[in-house]
Amino acid sequence: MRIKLAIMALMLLSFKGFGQDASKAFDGVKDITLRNIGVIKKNNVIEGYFSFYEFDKVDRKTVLYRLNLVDANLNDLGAKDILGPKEWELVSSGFDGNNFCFKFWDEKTKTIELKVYDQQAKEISSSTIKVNYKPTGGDYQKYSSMATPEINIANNNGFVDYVFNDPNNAFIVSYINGNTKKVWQQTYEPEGKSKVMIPGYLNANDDVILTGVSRVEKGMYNTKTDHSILANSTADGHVLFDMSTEFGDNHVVPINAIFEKDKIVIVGLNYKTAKTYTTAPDGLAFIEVDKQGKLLKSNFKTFEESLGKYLPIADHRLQDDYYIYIHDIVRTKNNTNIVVAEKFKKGTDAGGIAMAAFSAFARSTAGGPIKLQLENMVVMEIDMDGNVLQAQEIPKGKTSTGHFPSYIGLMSPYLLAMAAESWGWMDYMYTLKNEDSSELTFSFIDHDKLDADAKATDNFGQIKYKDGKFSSDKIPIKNEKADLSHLFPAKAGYVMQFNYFKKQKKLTINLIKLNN
Amino acid sequence: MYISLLKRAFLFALFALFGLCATAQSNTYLYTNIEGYQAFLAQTALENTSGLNKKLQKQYSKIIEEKNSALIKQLNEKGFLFDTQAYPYLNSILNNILEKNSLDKSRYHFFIDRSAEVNAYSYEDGTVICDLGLLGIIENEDQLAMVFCHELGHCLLQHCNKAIVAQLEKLNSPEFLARVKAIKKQRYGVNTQLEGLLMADVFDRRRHSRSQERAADSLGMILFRNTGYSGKNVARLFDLLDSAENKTTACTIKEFFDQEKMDLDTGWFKPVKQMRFGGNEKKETADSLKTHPDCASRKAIMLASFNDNPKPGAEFVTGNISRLSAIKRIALFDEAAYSKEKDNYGFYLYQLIENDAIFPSDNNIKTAIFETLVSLCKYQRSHILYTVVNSPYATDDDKDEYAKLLQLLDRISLDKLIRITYIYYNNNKALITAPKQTINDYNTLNN
Repeated sequence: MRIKLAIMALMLLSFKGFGQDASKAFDGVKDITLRNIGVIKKNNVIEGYFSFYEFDKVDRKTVLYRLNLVDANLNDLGAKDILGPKEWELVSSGFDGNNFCFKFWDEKTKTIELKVYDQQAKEISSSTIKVNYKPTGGDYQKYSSMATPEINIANNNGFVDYVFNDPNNAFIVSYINGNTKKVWQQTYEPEGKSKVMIPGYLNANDDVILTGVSRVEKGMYNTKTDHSILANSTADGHVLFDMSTEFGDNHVVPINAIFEKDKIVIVGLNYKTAKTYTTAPDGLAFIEVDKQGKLLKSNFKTFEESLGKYLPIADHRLQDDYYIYIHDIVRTKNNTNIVVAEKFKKGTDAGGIAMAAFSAFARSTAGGPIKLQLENMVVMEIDMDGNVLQAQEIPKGKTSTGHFPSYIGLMSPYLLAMAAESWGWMDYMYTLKNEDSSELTFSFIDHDKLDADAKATDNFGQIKYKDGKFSSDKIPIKNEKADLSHLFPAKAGYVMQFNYFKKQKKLTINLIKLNN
Repeated sequence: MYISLLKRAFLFALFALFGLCATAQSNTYLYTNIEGYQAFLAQTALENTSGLNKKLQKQYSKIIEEKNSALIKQLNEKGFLFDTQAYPYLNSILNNILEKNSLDKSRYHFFIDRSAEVNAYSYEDGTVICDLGLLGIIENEDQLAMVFCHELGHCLLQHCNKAIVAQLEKLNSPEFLARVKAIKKQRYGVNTQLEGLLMADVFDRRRHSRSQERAADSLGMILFRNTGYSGKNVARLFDLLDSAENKTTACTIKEFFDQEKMDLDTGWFKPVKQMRFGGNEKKETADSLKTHPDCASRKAIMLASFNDNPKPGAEFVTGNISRLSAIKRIALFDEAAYSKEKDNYGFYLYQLIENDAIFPSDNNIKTAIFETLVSLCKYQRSHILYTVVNSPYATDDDKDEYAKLLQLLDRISLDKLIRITYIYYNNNKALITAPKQTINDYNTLNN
């Protein structure tokens, strides 16, 4: 306090100026404890960042929180004081071009609350859901591993969120719109029981919200999956259609949906088997349906047909037993699709075998000998007929995932890759784009030498698609002089680096521009 | 475009009259009497603390020591200009005011801050400082004299000193301490109440500050009346200050690209949609936070004073229009050089582009633009562009050409930046006299 007051006195020292100025900044008066920090996204576009901290205790049950926002260039946007319960977390945030949406989690009451604020920081809408589902351990981290924490943006007009009440058989689609004040929640509970059911946001506009639904059939050893597309009316949430994506012997996992004049184009991975979690995809699928979900056109082209001339592929495998794991498919401004993938193969190592042998006596869930070897990134541009227009391998140092628990080590390479991705073991990180989709960027982690005569370092890599061309660049994750460095997603073409300098007790935040 | 060309032609004609002796100034940033100045600061601090109790004396001294160290640091780090043209001229204006008002010259010091800010300021010890940026808007010597009179008004009324002492007395008062203690004892709402207390204090000080500005204006006018300057045009100073925020530019970034026949990517200038979180401050809050009364009301008071009681005199007393124009030119060059020394290459490039429009055949400016472009390429290639270029900001002002340049530097790829450097070099190589190292760096970039 005394120090703070001394600083204030110092401000009086000079009569700075014959000119005009106005001060608006005001710092907190005491040490603060940061609760949460995160990005504000508009689907794949980074719009800014939030920080959320406890500012004051109001009474035994209530806390005054302060929410600070900065834009993607780290310029201050403003702050808002919000009253809330003690056990409150701000888990994610979105911006739909008009309003902000914040998703809060109350650990004590297991409640999710979506609050929408306009750009004057005035709360204009809210939606609360009490979560019945109680995972073991009960905290949000456990919960969020089942339900994606991200808020999805419905075409500049509202927010879509998914909540589990029964992760096996049902989920709730939530919609909230600050402009129209429409708020609804719809429970989706199809017939038949399943082992697990996962919703994935595909796209939304003012008429319809499209959700990809993946279900694994019941039965301990059953790995068969069902995939479908659920279409809810944006106006009131009623189901417009619920269509299976099984077409004969083609089983399509929808990844992306694009609205065109009178139809919806769905892009997905195609499998010739119903075991889509345990096998590698055969190719891509392009499905066109009308607004009622009636099939208009379908196109299934195998990777052997389409990718073969760029990367020799047979029986789902590249040369030397490598597979490709597809992380994302994104539509470009020019109506083509960019597929970002990572090369991998199953491997073992002596250390792993020894450890597995040793731990076999200890507990069955300990690390086994199996791991995945991760190699180059692969990017492809594909037209709407499934033809590969260009494909490139982006060099990346060879790395390995952690050892898989012995009880799943014998499973298929593709299932292991899926597990590795969900545990954050793969090198691909995220996909971003700029406002008009003229730039798409795909980020990954690399461990390699950046110069021939340098030491190998952990690096951040970025592949950019712009003007029909792919390019890439890398930077070391750690700032040489800092004691600690941490990267955060930033606007397309950039990465944000936090550096901590222990000796100077200094924290810096830099927006680093990549050179591609 | 036509207006812009006219504007450029006018600026060029104005500076060409006085600036033919061109670019190599014998600028120096070395203050030869630092020890003497330090002794002066120490002596003033001693005098100012003599009437205070021991507790306040200690706190006061600590604050003043920190301020003095910052001033000396700025002196040592070439933060002030002591050249053979601008410094003697501006110093002579201040000295003339001191003499005409029979003020003891040994009680005052004058420096020129190399900042591009449109400002002047003073300290409790009698140091009066004028930013180089202020020279950019001044039309006559009498306007500068009025600014100095205002700052001397602050010094004579001991505004800084009184404000520090009043604040320390307030913070050490039993009432204030008891209030802080009572708040801290509470279980809930501690930070909110402390923030409220500080906020009230800030409002209070700002209100006080505005009344002090009016007082400094009043005393400034009295001091001004004792000089040989005319009061006819000085109130216009407030119009100039008011318009300083919407600085007119000699050349837009687009015009610069057109002039150099460099391809423009329209995406570089696509306006950013400004996002907000929180409305504009209420007018009463914004007004309460202002340190200065608004220019219009200050102008009205000054106009009324000089209309009711005209002050005859000259627009120039110690110099003339050509001397003022010469130092305005020095200011343009030195502000830019200072940006470079401060590693603010984004702003430096902006200043160079503006200066290039005013002095289109100046080989030093052409060379500096080329060198800066090469440096920016190098910084970007090393992924440390953020160390020399500020973040872009969203603005509603479509005339803010600096914001446009920042946006361009934010969006341009390294390849395109190298290409622009290449075109610029080829367009201007007859005038560029870059050192060998820069040419080597340029060749490396192009390979």
